[in-house]
Amino acid sequence: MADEAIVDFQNITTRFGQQIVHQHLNLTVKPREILAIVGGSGTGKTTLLRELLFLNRPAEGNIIAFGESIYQATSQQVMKLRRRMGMMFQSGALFSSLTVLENICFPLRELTSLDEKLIVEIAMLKAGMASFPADAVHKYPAELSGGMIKRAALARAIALDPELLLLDEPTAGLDPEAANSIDELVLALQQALDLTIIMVTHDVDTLWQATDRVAFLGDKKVLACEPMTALVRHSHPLIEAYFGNPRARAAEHSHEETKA
Amino acid sequence: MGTAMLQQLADIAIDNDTIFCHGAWTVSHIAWLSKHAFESLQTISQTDITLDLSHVTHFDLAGACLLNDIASFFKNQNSVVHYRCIDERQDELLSLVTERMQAEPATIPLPQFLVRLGMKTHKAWLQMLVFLSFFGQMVQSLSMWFRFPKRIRWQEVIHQIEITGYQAMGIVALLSFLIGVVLAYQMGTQLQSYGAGIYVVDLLGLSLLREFSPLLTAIIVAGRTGAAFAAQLGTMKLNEEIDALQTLGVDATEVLVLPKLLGLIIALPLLTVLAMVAGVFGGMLMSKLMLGITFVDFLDRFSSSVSAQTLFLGELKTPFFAVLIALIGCFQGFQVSQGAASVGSRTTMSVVQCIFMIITTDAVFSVIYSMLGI
Ligand SMILES: Nc1ncnc2c1ncn2[C@@H]1O[C@H](COP(=O)(O)OP(=O)(O)O)[C@@H](O)[C@H]1O
Ligand SMILES: [Mg+2]
Repeated sequence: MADEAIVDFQNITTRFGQQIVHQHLNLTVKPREILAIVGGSGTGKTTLLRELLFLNRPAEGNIIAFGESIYQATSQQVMKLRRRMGMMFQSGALFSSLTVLENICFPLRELTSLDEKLIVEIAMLKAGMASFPADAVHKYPAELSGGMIKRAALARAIALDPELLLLDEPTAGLDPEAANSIDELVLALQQALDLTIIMVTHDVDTLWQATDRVAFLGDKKVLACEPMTALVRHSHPLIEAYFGNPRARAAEHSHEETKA
Repeated sequence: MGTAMLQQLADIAIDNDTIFCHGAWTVSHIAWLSKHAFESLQTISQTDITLDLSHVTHFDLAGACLLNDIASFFKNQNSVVHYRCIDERQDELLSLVTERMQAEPATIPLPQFLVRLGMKTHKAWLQMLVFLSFFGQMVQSLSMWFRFPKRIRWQEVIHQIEITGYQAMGIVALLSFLIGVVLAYQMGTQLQSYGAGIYVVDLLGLSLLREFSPLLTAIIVAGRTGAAFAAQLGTMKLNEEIDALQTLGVDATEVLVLPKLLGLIIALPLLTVLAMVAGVFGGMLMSKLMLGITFVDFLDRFSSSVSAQTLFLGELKTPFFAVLIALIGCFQGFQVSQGAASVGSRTTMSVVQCIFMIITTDAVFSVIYSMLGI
């Protein structure tokens, strides 16, 4: 049971018009791991997450989530499956007409009938776990900085205690310190809540610090899905190019130093 | 899998100083308990409480939150709380709750009625000033265009004429035609009873050319184009596109507002002519069907009784309407601040204000015309 896949992308082919984004792509996610998806821009990382959430549908292939084939599920089952997942969108996607606290309360209010006081308490707890400062919860998204938006979005994504958390570029556009604290947050959340996390990222530091395995997207499929230490030794030219540049090397060195 | 279905609702059972928790203490199973737990806790009078978790099947952060609430309920009464049979993970979650829980900061209470009224008035006054400065900025940009006509973006102006004029032709013609039909029918039945059916031509001509066509066209365009201006500029504002334009050293008013203004000043009078033609045609058709006035008779009477001045007086109003629509629509668009809801409310406001101002201006024109005796 422990080794059974929590999510299984089987033979996914995705097309937008003439453009083929994925072709016979396979990827398995194990329970309680932090899996990162990397690859150049436009290789279809976001699209892959959207397919898992039912927002896009691949032309061919199947996705198994929590042991159920999501394309054979009834719409009620789909709602149930979605409730077990939390998604943090690339740009935050906070509701602009609600305050941060209302944003985090929203899924709790809509999908449970908990006591109002408890809802606010849970929302404040999730804000705290996402390191969102308590004195800013009554602000509107337009009044927040980029880092705060990411934290608020993260808090909303974990509002319902999801079993599977999907993060789309959680550290993109943040300063190194904020990015670092998001990394720590992801690790802490995973340990505290026994989550499975799938995370799209370009941040090599994040890859070293916060992931169990890394799936490399290229040539319309997953070229490799291995722990970071193995992936950087991989001989595929795309992967070599990705991790062979000075920035990636620097991240690797700093990671080795902190370990030593 | 499928365990989610088999979970039992969370509940508590009270035995003297011990509270037995059972069922699934998870976000989807504690709703009932969260509302009713505290009633039954009131009955406990002991000061040494034990919370027994041996029958808790599932436990998550929401459950930990509720458990923490129950514990604090007793701690606030100076009771001592012990946990029994709490496993490692439950303990971890519980301590996570106590560590990470933040108090909700107090919201600022709504001020008193008079204070609110004062704040609203002040806000309206500020809006007025902002509108005046917007107007001034536009006049300034416009004067640039007059001094350097080469700067006029004709391509954009023509594009605006296409969107606001050409594409509105169908709806304007259809609605005007129907108004013509309705007017002819209403007036025709009255006039016929006096045997004065032919006068329908005079009435139709005067009312359509002087009042109805300019007014109706302006109102249609306000709903169609004014709203579109507000929504487009508002979304651009949210997207920081307008900030980007200004940062590039481009005058946002000149690029975004003036072509719309100029386009509409050209398009609205033309649309109004179309509305007049369609309206008169509708009236003519109805007159023939109902009163038996032939097209030849109708047009004969029309040319002798409706002067060119009537047409001119009607058309004179339309550039003013055009300016109002473009100004209010664009102004409201620029006023969008945070969020999608603001785009919606500003768009609504632009249509309401446009129509209000159009009708007011029309009334002013009527007063002026009557003072001049025309
Ligand atoms: N709704 C869409 N319509 C057309 N093409 C799309 C759509 N969404 C994504 N694409 C294309 O699919 C490719 C993958 O997009 P995406 O998954 O967003 O990439 P990334 O890996 O950078 O997240 C891109 O080339 C993009 O242009
Ligand atoms: Mg993306």
